[in-house]
Amino acid sequence: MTDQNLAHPLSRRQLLQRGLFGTTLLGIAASSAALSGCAGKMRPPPVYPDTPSVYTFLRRDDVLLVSAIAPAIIAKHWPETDTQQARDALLTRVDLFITRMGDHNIREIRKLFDLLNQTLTRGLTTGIWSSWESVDVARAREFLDDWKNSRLSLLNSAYNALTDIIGFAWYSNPHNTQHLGYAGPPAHLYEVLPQLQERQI
Amino acid sequence: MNDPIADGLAACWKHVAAHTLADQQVLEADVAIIGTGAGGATAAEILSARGLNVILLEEGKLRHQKDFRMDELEAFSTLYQEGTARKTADGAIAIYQGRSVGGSTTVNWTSTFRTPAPTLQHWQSVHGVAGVSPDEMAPWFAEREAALSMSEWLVPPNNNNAALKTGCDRLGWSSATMIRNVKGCWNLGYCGFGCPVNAKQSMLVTSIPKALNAGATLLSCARAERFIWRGDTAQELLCTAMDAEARFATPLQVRIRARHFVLAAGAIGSPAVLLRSDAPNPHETLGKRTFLHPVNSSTATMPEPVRGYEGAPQSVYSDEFLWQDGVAGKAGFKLEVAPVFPGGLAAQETMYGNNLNARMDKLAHTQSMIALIRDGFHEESPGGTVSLREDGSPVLDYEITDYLWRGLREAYARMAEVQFAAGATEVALVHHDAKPARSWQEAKNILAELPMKPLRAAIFSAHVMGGCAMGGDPRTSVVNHEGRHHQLTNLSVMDGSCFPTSIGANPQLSIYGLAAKLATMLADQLAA
Repeated sequence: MTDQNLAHPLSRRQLLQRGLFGTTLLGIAASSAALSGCAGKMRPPPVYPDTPSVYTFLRRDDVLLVSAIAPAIIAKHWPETDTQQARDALLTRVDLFITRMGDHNIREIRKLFDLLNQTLTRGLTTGIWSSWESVDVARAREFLDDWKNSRLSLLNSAYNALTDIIGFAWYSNPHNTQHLGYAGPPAHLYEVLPQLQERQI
Repeated sequence: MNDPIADGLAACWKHVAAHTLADQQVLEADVAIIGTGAGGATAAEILSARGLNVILLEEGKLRHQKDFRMDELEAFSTLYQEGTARKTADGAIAIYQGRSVGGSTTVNWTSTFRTPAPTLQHWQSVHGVAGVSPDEMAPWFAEREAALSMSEWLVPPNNNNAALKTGCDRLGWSSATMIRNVKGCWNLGYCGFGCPVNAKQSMLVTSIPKALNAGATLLSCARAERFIWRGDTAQELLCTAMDAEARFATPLQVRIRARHFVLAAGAIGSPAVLLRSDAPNPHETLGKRTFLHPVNSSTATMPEPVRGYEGAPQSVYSDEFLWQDGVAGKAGFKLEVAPVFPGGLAAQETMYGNNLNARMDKLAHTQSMIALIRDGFHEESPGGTVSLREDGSPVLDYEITDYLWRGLREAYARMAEVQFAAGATEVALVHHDAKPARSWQEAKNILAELPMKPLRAAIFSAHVMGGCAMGGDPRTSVVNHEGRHHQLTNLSVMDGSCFPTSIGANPQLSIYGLAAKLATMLADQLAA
């Protein structure tokens, strides 16, 4: 998939001309000198009113988004059975990971997820006009490939953020890596290090 | 198992989490130290031993052995700045810095080097820093080496490190065994998660307990916002109390008055406090010349299991290419290895789908080589700039110049070469556009076509240095050779932000040694 991806209704150049990235995607990984130099007071923590109660950061739309992208990232390591359980565990870990990234990253990831959840901005940046619920793995893969190989560095860093967060949240779970040879700390340590028996996650 | 933090808390230590204080409460001390990492904790140990009343401030939470559960997600999200999501302004370089009591020493890999002599000589000759010749620094390093149980690692290296040694031996390159700051190490390999057995002689089990035993106060979950200063004097430090998990700011403010302030908040945090304070900066040197030892990496598949998640994470290094073109010549690099845990491997690779699966399927056979580029010694390596976002939080803008890209390109080549020499069946340069290579020749061909560009090459840093540079000339530095701020006379900086260049080696002992020297000078002056 390249920048000439025909699935996209608008070319990159057109998108840039319309200034969408300038406003919506501003600073996904890039805060900038333009914002610097002002010693303002810290803002209060971000509050998101329609967050489902089980999550701190993720909203209902985000759950659909992560659920659509994760099987494309995790691919054959995504389980064929107990899928719901695996997905819920992943969502909990993604939510926890993002919640602990600090105010700035939380705001930036909020912007990214909002961009991917709103029909117009999602359609223009990904060519996906339907909701994430109806996006299959093949289409999610195309989306990832497109952003990875985009000439726009903001899309590259958004791709990095998505694969980093979901890849880390998945593979840092020892339940998901036993078959790869890593099942967490050696079993004998659980007897001698009591803190291991009080796992928090 | 003995835990000095648990014991001390149960006894008489003065530890306060800031959110438990009353709003606008004023704390007073002889010396207030901002930051509990390598610089701040060392200063706290030395100043409190001299009978000075010390307050030690930390934005993060007090976490210790009982909290170190050898879990990747828990450790990464609680013990690192921005939960490991910190990056340079353009997103191109991931930055790993500690963020809990003990700072980066709580999570570092224990690799120990004295500041290389060419670096110290360069500081003297080019940056006019007095008193830091190798001979003058030697006793400070020796004292800290003894205090922190630093000695050569006599246990055989794990397979990940052994591959570096084998490859170097076969190519005729130099390599050596690391010195580590451990006592009774179990060789588990979880140094980066907080040592679960208190073997690592981090600040958490050494200097911080010593300072608290001597009567110092530890104020955790407290973010230093800014100094109130007048003329040449910092009068008061305003702090924001963080919540119980040290994640979000609360509305509660704490004020600290002290005769002297020591800034040791790391090379992004220290300039940030001064920038938020609108501190005098007549020559606009503050936050400039920030260095990273930019790191690139190469992932090899070995025929035998490597199990890079087991055993001391770093025990072998090679300086074959570190000084190859002289101190101020082309960008040299240090070769080391990185531990291979599944979450970290997936995050580092930023791959998806079949490619990611293929990498992860080879987890147990994965060998990870890294190269640390020596930055700041050449005019085409001016470093980055720390500035403030609209919300007052700091961000580092760091451009990887063509000079550095040339160093990174050569480092990719040498990493692949040494991995194939060690017996790798496949090597993948960690770069978005690099396909795996089956031979050294194929790797060279791939590398020749590879764009050296931000966000294509995966670059990270665990060594942020500079931004409050030491120097003899106020026009080109922020503090003098005693660590004293050029304009605010009762303010010192004692952490990696003092360095006028990068170090050219893992910096913990450079910070300990320099902070010990600067804190001793300060103690002499305050006691007089």
